[in-house]
Amino acid sequence: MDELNTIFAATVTREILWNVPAWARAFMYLLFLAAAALCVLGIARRVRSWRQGREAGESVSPGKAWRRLWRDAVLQVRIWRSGAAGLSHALVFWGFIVLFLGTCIVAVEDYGSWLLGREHLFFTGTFYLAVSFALEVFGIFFLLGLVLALSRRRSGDRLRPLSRPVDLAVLWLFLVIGLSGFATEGLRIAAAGGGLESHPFERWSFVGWWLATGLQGLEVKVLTTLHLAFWVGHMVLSMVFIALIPYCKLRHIFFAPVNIALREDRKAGRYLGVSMEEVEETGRYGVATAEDFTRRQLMSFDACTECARCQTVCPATATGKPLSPMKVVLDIAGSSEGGESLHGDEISPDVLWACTSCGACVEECPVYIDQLGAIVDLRRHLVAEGEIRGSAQAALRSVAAAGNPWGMPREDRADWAKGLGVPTIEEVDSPELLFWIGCAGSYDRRSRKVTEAMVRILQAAGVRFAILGKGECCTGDPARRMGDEFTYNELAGANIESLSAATFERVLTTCPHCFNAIRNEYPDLGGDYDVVHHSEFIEELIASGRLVLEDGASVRGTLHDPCYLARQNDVVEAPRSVLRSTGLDVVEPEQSGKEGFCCGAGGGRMWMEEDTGERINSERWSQLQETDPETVAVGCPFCMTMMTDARDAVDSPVEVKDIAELVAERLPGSPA
Amino acid sequence: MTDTLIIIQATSNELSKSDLAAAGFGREAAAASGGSFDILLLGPSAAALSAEAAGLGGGTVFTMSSTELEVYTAEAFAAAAAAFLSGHPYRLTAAATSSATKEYFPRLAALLDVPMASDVLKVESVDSQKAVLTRAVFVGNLLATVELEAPQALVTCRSSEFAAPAPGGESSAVEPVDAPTGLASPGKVFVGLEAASSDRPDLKEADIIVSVGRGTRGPDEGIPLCERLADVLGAALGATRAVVDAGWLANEFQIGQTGKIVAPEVYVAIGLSGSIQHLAGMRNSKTIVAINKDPEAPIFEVADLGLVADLFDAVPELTEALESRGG
Repeated sequence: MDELNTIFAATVTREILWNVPAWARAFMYLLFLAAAALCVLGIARRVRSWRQGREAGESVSPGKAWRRLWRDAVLQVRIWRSGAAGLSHALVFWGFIVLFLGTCIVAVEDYGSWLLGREHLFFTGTFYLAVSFALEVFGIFFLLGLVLALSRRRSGDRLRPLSRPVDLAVLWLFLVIGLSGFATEGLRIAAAGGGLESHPFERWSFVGWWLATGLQGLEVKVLTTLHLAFWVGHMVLSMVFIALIPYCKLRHIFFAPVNIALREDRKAGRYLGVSMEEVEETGRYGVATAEDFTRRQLMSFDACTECARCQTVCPATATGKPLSPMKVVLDIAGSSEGGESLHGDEISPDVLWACTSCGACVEECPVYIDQLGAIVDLRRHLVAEGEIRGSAQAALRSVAAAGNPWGMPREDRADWAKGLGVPTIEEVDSPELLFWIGCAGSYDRRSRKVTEAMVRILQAAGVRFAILGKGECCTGDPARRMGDEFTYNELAGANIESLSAATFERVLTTCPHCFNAIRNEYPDLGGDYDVVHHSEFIEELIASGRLVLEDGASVRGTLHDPCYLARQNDVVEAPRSVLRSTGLDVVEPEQSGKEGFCCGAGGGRMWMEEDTGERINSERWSQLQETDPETVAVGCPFCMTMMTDARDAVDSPVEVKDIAELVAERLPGSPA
Repeated sequence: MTDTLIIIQATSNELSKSDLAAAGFGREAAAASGGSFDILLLGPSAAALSAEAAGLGGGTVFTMSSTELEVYTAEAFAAAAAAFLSGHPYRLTAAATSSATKEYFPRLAALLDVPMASDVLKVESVDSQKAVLTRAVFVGNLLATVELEAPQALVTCRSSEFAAPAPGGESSAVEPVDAPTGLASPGKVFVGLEAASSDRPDLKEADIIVSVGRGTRGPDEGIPLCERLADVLGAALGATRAVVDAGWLANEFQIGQTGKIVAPEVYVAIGLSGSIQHLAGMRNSKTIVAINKDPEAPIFEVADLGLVADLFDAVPELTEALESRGG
């Protein structure tokens, strides 16, 4: 038996670099040295450009880094969300990895046996067959993935990837490398050792075997010549690939895993603060040059795969604004050497102000780039330089002076509550809820109706609640999104002082922007509160039986998800569950939940003119109309304004109502 | 070199408030540097304005006009000012912040290769090598003190921060200077100016404003009725954002958060519901009159006088009544 095994092991293998003459081997090593040098130089240049950035942020523990790599690099989990794109990338990725490992095995076998003076090291017998078979299977995966990627570039899909010359060239390079690899193998099997009969075990290399059977009639001389030609082609193209990696979008092969592993752990809705003390000390506010970004940010921009999914989902790009999140990232990465200003014709104020801060780009990015964070950093510089003008500047002045962006009198903030039996925090001892009204809920006549509906719900459910009254002011959300940290810090500080002086269990708010600021951002300033959005709280009230709704006719409707609720804070199911309880038959639009499309009012856009391209709210309205709704439900005062305006612009009879209003209509004794 | 030059764009027939404020800046800057200030009137009405400018307490009023300065273009104004300054060096050269000076002062700074501070609020000190000035940053939340370390510098000043010099005192000498030729920029041709002309008063200055909303159903239906009412009242015409977005009226008519902010004696709101975006632009009006057929419209909550009626009946009736009274 042992003897048989030995014979099996000795014969079941192949000669590495068969039919490759010395000159070709020398050529290969020379090319490899050149390609590797170019590759290393390119990487070193990118890494050096990161080092000009600031050091900031917490480090990631090795355990966490490996877990992230396992999930999103090895298993490709994040990419799978996007259907065909995920399948195509995973096939190419896994194919590539296995083929790369195969090449490594061959190299180790070759050098190892040469160093140890043995004929073979381990690339024989069963192992040889298993590796050969695996390489065939994953080689097919690799080619299938590439064909799928090419066909997606011809489809009419909304998520169609870019097909610039570089995108097609990369795919064709891979395709030719893969095909020439199979051809080389087939020619070797057909010609080596006198033909197929001399090595029947090569059937395990089933693609090569199949090709070899088709080549059988040819003369050995022709086969060996062709084999060498294909080998040289395969080898040269592989070296070209290695040399190119750092100089085009292929650089993500190195940098995407680095960013996946080392990225900052932060929600898109929680911005990193800048204190005025810091500004005084460093003289830096926001980002003017690449040096003002953190090293981690600069590194993340190099992870960009140029897949363009961020700009596909961007509401600004979709409606013809000058902003593309991908272009901003690439413009920064492209200029991240030298200390010149990033602001200019490419990254212009119009580009930066077009962002609605909806976070769709951040949510979509397969390699965890924070495009929004970069845009806000760049906006901060504009604010510091006085490059914020007109109505946006007026809103910031109002918010700083009057505590609300419309400049309405502070004195009138609680006027809506007159005659409704709503107590202020001074009048109730330790209430269950502090009802945070927000500026729109306090002053905007339409949103006041939502506030009033919520009050009726709380009263019907017997919830002990109170409001801050005139002591409440803007959370600072609009100022922060527009890049004005100074005003944000003032407002947030004042609110935290008021909230911390009061005793209550939870904060309730009907505005997702207030919700996000208090929940995700106030803790950074020392204000830690348990905050609920009204959709979550109403869901709790219904589930616990405290709130009983009357049955009524079912109405066909749809929900427009607020970005700051669904995407930034993962509240997706609660509003749907509440809407179903009110008898609304919720039909989902194509873009919903965490993939929802912004109403256009976030990021301070509520206070800016929208004079380029289509209106974002009208675009969203058309998307929602595809569900043929009688009612469009919203859960945010900004969305309410934008959806109502979009409806009125087309004179549509569809109702736009807040979740709270739909619930209040089903309270016992309500006029339906 | 201790003197300051104030450049005034002479393209209309009287000095504006901001021109007077620029002279106020000139007086302050001259006081700080221990010199005096001169005025350069640039443009077609330079001669016409020289008498008024001579009463502002400056040293000399220079006037410069030519066919090439007939209409304002940034290139020509910057080149003309640069030519003048190369023959008459000044410690500081200033003008009021305006859309024109935002455009041609940076060009001028580049032509002369001197530093510039924009939208200055206050003069701290000026000596022969350093000018210390205050300007607002962070949307006015912070004041930055900037130092221009150069023997010559350019400044634009915020007109609300400087008072016009008190009239009186000796009249300045007026000295016409020749305009250089060849000012036009290659590749840029002035084609024409289309100014919106209206017999109605300007929105910002009107005592009465008639403002129209979506309820007017457009330029073929309700808007002409409201325009007639505006004419009878001698009022300016305003509009909501929705009306402007629909293309019924031009941008300049928009009142609200993202339009003009107005505070007339009487504001007549017709067929508009009164969104907070609109209220933010008009809520300081003395008397608000609302006509709307929806009694729930929020505009009624801020209105002093409200009429729940179809505007297509009410507006013509009101116009007629006013006509017969005024008739």
